[in-house]
Amino acid sequence: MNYLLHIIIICEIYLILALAMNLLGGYSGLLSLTQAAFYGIGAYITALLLTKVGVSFPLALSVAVFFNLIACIPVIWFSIRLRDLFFALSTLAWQIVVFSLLYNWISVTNGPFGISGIPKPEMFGFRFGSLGEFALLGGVITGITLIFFIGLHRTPLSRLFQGVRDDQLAMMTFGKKPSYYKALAILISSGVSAVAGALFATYFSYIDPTSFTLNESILIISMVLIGGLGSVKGSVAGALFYVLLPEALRFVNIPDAVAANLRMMIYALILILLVMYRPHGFFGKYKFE
Amino acid sequence: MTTLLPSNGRTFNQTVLTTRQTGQNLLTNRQTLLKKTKPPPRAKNEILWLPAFGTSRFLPRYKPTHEKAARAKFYPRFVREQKTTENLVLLPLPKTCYYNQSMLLQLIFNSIVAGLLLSAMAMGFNLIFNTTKVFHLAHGAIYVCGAYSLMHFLTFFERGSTFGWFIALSFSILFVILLSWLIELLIYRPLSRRNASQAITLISSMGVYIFLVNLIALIFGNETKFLNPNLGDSISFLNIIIVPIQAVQLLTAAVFLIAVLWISNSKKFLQVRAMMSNETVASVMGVNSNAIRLFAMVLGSILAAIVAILRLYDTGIDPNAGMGITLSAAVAVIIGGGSSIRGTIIASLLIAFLQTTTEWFLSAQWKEGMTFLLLIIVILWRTEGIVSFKMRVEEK
Repeated sequence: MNYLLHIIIICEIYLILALAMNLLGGYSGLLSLTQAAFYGIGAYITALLLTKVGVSFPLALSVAVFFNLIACIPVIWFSIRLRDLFFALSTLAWQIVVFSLLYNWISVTNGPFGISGIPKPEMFGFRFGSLGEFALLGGVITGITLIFFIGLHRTPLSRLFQGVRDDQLAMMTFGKKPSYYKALAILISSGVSAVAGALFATYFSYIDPTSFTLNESILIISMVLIGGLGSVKGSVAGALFYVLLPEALRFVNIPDAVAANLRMMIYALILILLVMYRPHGFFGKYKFE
Repeated sequence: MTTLLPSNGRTFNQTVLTTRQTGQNLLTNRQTLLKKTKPPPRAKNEILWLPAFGTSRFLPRYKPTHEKAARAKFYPRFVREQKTTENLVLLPLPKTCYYNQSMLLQLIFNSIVAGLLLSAMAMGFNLIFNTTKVFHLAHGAIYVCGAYSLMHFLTFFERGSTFGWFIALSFSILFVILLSWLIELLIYRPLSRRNASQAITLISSMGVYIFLVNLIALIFGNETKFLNPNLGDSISFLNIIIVPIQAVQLLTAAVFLIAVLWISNSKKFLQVRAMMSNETVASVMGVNSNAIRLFAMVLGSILAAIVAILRLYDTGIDPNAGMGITLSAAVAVIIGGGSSIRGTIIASLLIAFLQTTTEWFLSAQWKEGMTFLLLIIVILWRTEGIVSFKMRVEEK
């Protein structure tokens, strides 16, 4: 039962990340490689606030979201005017800069040793200590995120995002600024990633920089790609698929040392085959052309 | 008994007395005596090789006891007391702790060696990137494959014989050629036929990279492998300490760079240049674009394999070593300005200098962060790169 609850919590965390990435990759057409950096900053801010300052969980969560909105301003500043490959490159640059900052700023982040002893979330006097309670909290937060994104994609704002994705020139002739909508998409996506980071930090009660590497960013992108760009259903399916696939491998009696590498190989193979033969993914409405 | 005791200023009687009084054995007594006296003057060739990352292991430092003392002085308690992790994280010392008269010269020499290696890598990346338009992250996987295949083929031949080594080398290079040919044939060519965007080819290349690297980790394990070149002692020249493998690296990289520059000035290479600037027009004019794509992939992969083998004999290779150097090479290509080969060489020397200095003054982990900060600055202020040609607006 505990194992099942653990998988459910991991699913919830990755679902939030995939939804945030889908807004950028699917709806705005920006191949961002910096999602793990946003995720990591969110996790670190929450962890530091909970351990060093000792604020309550809701406050820490909202501060983390707010701080992430500020932290993605540099990304917006230097990558907003780039497109396609160069956008991916500049976000990759930011990902690596943030990673080395988390790794080397020892006085604040404790460097490679990480932050341990992060307390479980406590809301209105109730402590989400056990796995079941945490899964419930995660489920509520994921549900809110899901409803937020479904709602967002019904508003005219989402149409504008898609318009910028499909034809920038046409949007400019309508008097809309493409860079404004791109920046807005990055802001929302980064803020939502911080929520996932906060859940991650409080669930594992220990974080270190190796959870927020470039590989994590690639993993998040492949989740969205396999589910399908530009559909909420797709990113949910992609996240579930990517979390549940290695768990299925667990039942085939493969030793742990091999399983980690084998899992990455299967992910990579799926990514290659997907790009070659089905760029739309499961439920995609858009593909990178 | 007298012969065993050190002559460190104390008389024989005193020494005997202390031995008798304390009742300790001779060895501990000797240690206590040594502690009270000054440390012996450093011999000329007494240099500590630290197992650090990258090139900084070639920089001479004090003996371990002194280094430990210096570390204890400069770093807070929690870092000092982490005895188990001390080997994992090598904290750099402030520059006052180092002792080297020709530090700047050594720094420049090390960065030139690293820069030439990086520029060989970057040249391959440049060729592939400009002809196939693929952001070839799998270059890092090919780099790692080159080193591991040499190691694997060496097990078939007896160690130490030069002939066997060269056969293993040629086998590993053949393997790398085959691998890059397969990647081009199975993945990049179908994608380019469909006019896939660079973002899509980047993703496919990432997939290839992750697949190959994890395959290698599955077969050979995750730990760092390195081979001992057995090339004799290091040479001191103009107060610079040159490790023989560094000299070999310098020479090989220089030879390969000159060869590539010579190839790029030849008449046949005009076709490749035509392909770089406009593939459609070039193929209309009768350039065999598939063959040229293949040529670029193969040449770039050979360069990567050579660099990897040189690194294997120096600091060692682990399955994830490819990503860092490929990203640095990619940054060198972008900073150097698109298709310019001279620009790539200049930029990679610059990046190597930046990385070596960062490693020296901050830590090895800042290396990539600094490289990418440089990329961000270049993207912000000079998107076209250091060496660039003026293009018409329509061509951009």
